[in-house]
Amino acid sequence: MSAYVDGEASEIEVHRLLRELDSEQGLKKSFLSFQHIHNVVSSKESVALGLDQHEALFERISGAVQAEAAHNAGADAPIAWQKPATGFAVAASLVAAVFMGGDYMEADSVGAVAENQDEAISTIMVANQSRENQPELRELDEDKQQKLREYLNQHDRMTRLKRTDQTVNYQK
Amino acid sequence: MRAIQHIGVLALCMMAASSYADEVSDWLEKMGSALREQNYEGTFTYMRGSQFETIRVMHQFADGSEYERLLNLNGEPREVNRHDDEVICHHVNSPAPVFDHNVPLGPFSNAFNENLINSQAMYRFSLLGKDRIADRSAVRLQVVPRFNDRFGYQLWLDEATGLLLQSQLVQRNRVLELFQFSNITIGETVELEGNSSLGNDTVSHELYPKLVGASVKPGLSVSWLPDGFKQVIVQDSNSLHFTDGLAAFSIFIEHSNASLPEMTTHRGGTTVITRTLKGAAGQVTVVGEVPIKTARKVVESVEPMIY
Repeated sequence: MSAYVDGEASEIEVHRLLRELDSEQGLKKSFLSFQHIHNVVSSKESVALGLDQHEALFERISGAVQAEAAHNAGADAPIAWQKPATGFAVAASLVAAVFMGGDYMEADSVGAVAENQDEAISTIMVANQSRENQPELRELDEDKQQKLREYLNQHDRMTRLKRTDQTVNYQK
Repeated sequence: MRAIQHIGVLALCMMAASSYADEVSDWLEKMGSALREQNYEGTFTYMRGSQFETIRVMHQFADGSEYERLLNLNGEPREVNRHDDEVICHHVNSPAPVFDHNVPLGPFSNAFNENLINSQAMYRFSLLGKDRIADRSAVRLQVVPRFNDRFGYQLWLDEATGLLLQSQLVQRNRVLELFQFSNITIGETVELEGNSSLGNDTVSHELYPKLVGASVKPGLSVSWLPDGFKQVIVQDSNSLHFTDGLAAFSIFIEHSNASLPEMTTHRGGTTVITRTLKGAAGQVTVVGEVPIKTARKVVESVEPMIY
């Protein structure tokens, strides 16, 4: 747990931790306390989120994830593979978005990408440093998701190219 | 007499170091030629953030040419066929096929092995003994960046052939991305017949853009880059791509109103940062396999170019 709060946990450890957090209320409390302490210690200015706010966000995100999972299960799905196992991936990413925020809060707004298995970006939550230093979670609309997806894909494809003999220096 | 002894010990140490460096280079070259020239068939997994892919690969080397087929086993049936540098992606036909998709090949790409061999100026390579991957004996190779402004790798190479069996993209001890063969057969004849194993009712598209030279002037300038990163040829004035041979990042600029909010995020080892453009309307986005601190310094140094 402390490794995760410090940003040192592996993805597999994060997944395991999130599963346990979801099932054990006591563990969740401990985790929130860990995060709160970490924020207080690492914060150079004011602490962005209080303990109760962390918990409220956790509940809100869990609810949203469950609602999305229920929505997916109920929606017409002509091809079964179109949205496999989305719920867990979204849960992992969104919870990470909230709690990892403390690491980047110094000057940045914070966001996280939640992707489904089809590599599409299904939901994005962005936390902005807004009024009274309160992070604001909001969902990007479809156009913004599409734009971010284009950037990620374009970058990915560039990295697959043979590059070492194709570097250039522009003449200004 | 003592001075002569010291010189002797020093000479032995230098010879040992030179021999070690040669051994590392040998393994890198062996890996490069194995990925290209070995026939192999197997299944690998690739994990990046919450993304987890399982892919079957078949690779054939014949008459100096490479043929490769990658079929993803989860989700939408999709197959990537490569003949040397020509890469075609096939989809099962559907009313609205999605071509704007990622191809999560991880380090299992034509670029990875060649770039690794040429990246020894920016990374330290060391051998960490033997291990066992996919029921094969493997040699473990550590790739540590000389500066903490980029990530490192751990590689497991097949001891018999040098083929890459597993790799991890790491930041300190944290694994950001994982590529691993779960089973593999090496050295047997692989038959890659026909255009696609998905059947005839498919739609196809070329996967990678053609690089057409550096005639396009960029619409932005970057005043800070991590050491060793150089610009890659682009065909688009609104994007720049940089690499140190192994790590890479891209910069995208939009001169219209911002289409994304300012944010900092990551997906596995891929960082994304967006910022409002300095001194002009627009937005700049950095996407790449570099730490957040590095991406932040880059994005803050971007300015629009006025000719």
